[in-house]
Amino acid sequence: MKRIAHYIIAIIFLSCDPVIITVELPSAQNLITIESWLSSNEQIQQVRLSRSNGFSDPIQVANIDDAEVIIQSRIGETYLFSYVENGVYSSNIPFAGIINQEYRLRIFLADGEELRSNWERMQPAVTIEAVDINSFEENDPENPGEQFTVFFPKITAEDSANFTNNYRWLFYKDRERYTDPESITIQNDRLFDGNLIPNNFQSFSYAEGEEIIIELQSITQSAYNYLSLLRSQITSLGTSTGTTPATVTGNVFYQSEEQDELILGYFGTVSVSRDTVVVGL
Amino acid sequence: MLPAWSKALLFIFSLLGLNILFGQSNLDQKLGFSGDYRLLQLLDSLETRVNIAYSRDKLQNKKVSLKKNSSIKKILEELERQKIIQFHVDANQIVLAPYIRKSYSINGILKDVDTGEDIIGASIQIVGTNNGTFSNGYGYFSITLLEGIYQVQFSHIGYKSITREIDLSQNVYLNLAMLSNAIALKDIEVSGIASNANITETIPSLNRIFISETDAEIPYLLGEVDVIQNALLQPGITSIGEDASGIHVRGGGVDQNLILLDEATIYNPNHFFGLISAFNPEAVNDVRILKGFSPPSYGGRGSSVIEVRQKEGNTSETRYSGGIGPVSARGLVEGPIKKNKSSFLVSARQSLLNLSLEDFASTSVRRNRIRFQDLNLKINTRPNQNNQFYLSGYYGNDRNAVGLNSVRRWGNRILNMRWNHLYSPQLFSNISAFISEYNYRIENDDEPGAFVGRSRIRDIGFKVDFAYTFQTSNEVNFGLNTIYHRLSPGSREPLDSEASTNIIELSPEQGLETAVYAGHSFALGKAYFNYGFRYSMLHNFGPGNVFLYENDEPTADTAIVDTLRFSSGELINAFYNLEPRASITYVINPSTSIKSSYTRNVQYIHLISNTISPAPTDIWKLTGDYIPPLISDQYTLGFFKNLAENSWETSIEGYYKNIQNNIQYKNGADLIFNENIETELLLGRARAYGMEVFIKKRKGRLKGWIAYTFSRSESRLGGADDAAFIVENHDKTHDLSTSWTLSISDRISASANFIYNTGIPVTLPTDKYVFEGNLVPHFTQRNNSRLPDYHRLDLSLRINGKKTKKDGSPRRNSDYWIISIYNAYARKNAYSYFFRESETNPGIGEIVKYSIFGTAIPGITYNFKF
Repeated sequence: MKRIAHYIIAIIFLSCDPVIITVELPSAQNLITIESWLSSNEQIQQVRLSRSNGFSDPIQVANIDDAEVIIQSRIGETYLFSYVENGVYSSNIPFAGIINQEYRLRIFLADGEELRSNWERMQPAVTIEAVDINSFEENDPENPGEQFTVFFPKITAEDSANFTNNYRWLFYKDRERYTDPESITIQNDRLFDGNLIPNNFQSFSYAEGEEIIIELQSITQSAYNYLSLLRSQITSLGTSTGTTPATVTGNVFYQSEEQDELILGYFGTVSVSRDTVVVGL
Repeated sequence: MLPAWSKALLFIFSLLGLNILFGQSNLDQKLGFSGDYRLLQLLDSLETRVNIAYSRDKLQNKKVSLKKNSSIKKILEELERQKIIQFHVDANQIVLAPYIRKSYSINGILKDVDTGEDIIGASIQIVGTNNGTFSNGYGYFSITLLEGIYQVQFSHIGYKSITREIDLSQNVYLNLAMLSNAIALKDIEVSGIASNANITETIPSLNRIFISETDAEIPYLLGEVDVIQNALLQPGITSIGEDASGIHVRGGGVDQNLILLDEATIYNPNHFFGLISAFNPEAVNDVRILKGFSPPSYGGRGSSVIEVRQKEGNTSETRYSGGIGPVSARGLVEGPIKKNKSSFLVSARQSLLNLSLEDFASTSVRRNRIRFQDLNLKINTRPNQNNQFYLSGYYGNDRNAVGLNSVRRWGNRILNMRWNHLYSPQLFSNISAFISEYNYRIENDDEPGAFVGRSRIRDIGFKVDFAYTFQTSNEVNFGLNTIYHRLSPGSREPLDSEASTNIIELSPEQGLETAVYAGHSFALGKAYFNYGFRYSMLHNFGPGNVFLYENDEPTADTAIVDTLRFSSGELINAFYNLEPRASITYVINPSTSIKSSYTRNVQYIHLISNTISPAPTDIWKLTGDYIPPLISDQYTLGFFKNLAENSWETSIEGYYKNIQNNIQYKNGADLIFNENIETELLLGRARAYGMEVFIKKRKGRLKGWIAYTFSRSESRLGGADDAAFIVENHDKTHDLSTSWTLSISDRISASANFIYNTGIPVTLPTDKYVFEGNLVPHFTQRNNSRLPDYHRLDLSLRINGKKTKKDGSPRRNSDYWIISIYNAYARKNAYSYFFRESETNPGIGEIVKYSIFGTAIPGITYNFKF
């Protein structure tokens, strides 16, 4: 009976292949999309502007290249941005977000409309204290019966106690960032306030000799909520344990009261702690 | 001098004495004549000797025979014995009246002749009349009739009908054994008239599953017989998809089904994330699904009652049965503790798939291992015909290893004690107490985040039900149910001293849910009425906190302005609701009836889940200050018609259901370890309406049914009347299920299911945009389209072992194989759509159709009994 079960299960798993299909979709809304994370690192900061298009349209999203972009701080500092390429606007000078300072993004569109984000506070950074490399053995799908070693980072960092912290982790392999949807790794300290931050990063796999760059970002509660919903919408939709499809609402809005069109995307602030190790060294 | 009261007493006693003297002296007179007379003629003669009062118009002038030298008293007694008149002596007068027939009861227990199992839901019908009743959930029945001679027919779909002549001149107790169809020789088709129970049944919208009988031959995934999968073939019952746990009854949510195993609540009726139900078919005796009208004794959920009763255990001999298939192995042993008095049953099931999955090369599969087991126990004893005691238990356990470090376990456990008592042939009681528990535990040993998380819901319940039968089809039910709910929504603590996890424990909830109820069912001509009420209440007690929000609106944690703290045992809040119920069954003729009903159900406990299909981790929450009770009102109307001497059963039923305080969720709702979960919820209204058509062939070599449902399930947020309704995730406009079994020979039968339904709703994106290099679908309106229609054919073949030995004598042991093919024509039904970025064309969106079972899946099981 066990052997029969093997055959049956093999049939089930082999039959689950996905099929690309064509479906008639509702009309596109062509919404402005903002993407910007103001870093606590002294650097050229960036804002990306684009406009959504029909999901099945055989063209990529359109970039917006004719807007004026500035970032303001509560204390009156203003940083000007200029268009570079691919919808990206870069700050005219390098600058760093200051811890506990509040910032907002303002965009002046070519048609005269102004977009503003909510104020975002730059959170205190948390230092990465140590990076260890752990491993596990994995079955080799190309060589049945064989196994290979998978390395993954184990990071020590301590959460500061008594107030809510929200984190985001970024991982790079040989200077290339993991950007797939499952790589959006966010944590809220509700479960470990004031203690070591859980560091189970087995899904970021490395091989011997590869360089691992880790960024631990402190983000606001609002950014955490945004990324959490965004992640659910690009990873678990369609599964029985997935969430219901929903509009991912950001924090940027039209200033004009007559204009109630949704602005997609988010402007956030991130305090960054960074470390680099090489597997096997 | 005697006091005044003594004088009065003496006077009364004097009169009584005179009366007695009068009666004795006159009644003892002997008549000098004999022979045959007419009654009135005799009375005329008697009037000359004694003072007789009677009405000539009301007496039937029957012929009477007198013996010589009979006294007046003897003559009158003989006339009374012959049920012609009745008499009494009043002062100095003999008063005669027409004989009024007395009422007596036929009551008793119906049992399976082979196993001694109680037969539930059997029809007891007085032949040639509309009078009848059904055996209750314990096999007990009682029918009260005027004295006389009756032909009583006992029938049940799984048993050979019995007709008994009963001379009812006193109460009659029957301990009747019925022969199962499975044992009756196949070539002798079950004789007698098939039951018209579906016509006379006074509970509309009732479905029964005979899992140990004909339904056991219906093919399911991997050859497994399953209660929930069978339920999905009934009209009005659906699920979201093939790997979705939970069922939806007439548009209700998955938490709106009261699932009872031997009267104790089961909170998660699934193994294997919904592919297998928690009910071991080996141990199940009877399944009833009440989709519409709920008798007042049931309550606490908005949509349905799914009542599963375990077998009682064989009282006559020890028997073993079991089976093995790719999914599980199961076994059962049952037998008498004291023959025909008490019995036991032990049944166990263990999944086999975990052994197989671990050997697969696929990493993702190897890292995600799951297994389950369950255990059923039951003891029952009947020390005498008036008492029966039961003790039953269930232990279910699922284990799911996720990744390298996490193990999740969950399961239901119940322990139930019952006492059925017969105070008189008319008065039956069921008193039960139970403990029901659902546990969830997750353990992660990965430092420093190693933790143990737990959640638990525990019910301690007590119920007492009484049924009093006045006359045939005139019964009163009343009783009380109370359940103490203790919900521990979540705790999380470090696994060991090295773990950095905080100790978090969400406040437990304690609620006492109580209901008193009364119901009356009676017949008036051809109409059967069943009405009553249930008065339900919930009292929440401390310890606990109630958060106060700005403007009394729980919009966010930040809107909390104060917290009310309640100490242990302190009343936090209370809710009271009246739940009226009524149904009418009008039997036009023995094969035709019309039924209509109204039912209000109030639900005080809610599953908090914002995923498409519920997960074992989901928590339950009691009604409270910000979560009002869910109130469901359902109206039904149905036409029932049997054809060809009840060989064919047909019905068409319509329903409309309105649900108040339907819970929905904010986008991105954070429900995990959230102390202020009310901030993530939205309340609204839901409605469901539809029409169900059911055609069933019950006799012959070919048996089966067609169930078709046309329905709509919608919801909207808020109370605004102009808000638009949006179809629910489980809405299926057309849903057709048909299942047929053909008996090819004495040893071989073949079965087929065909299922067709409209695709479930899906939310299609309007736009795509790019954020951090990821292509994101943008959604505006929920459920704005549908998946393609779903259809599937399942086939199975049942091959019975030889029934006779070489010498021709019947074998005591039996066995059979079931070979099945699920999804026989390999339809790639869409389970869902994924919206993703094209791998070959970066920046371009593509829609991917995902199928769970994209091919024909064979299955085989071996089953035995000895």
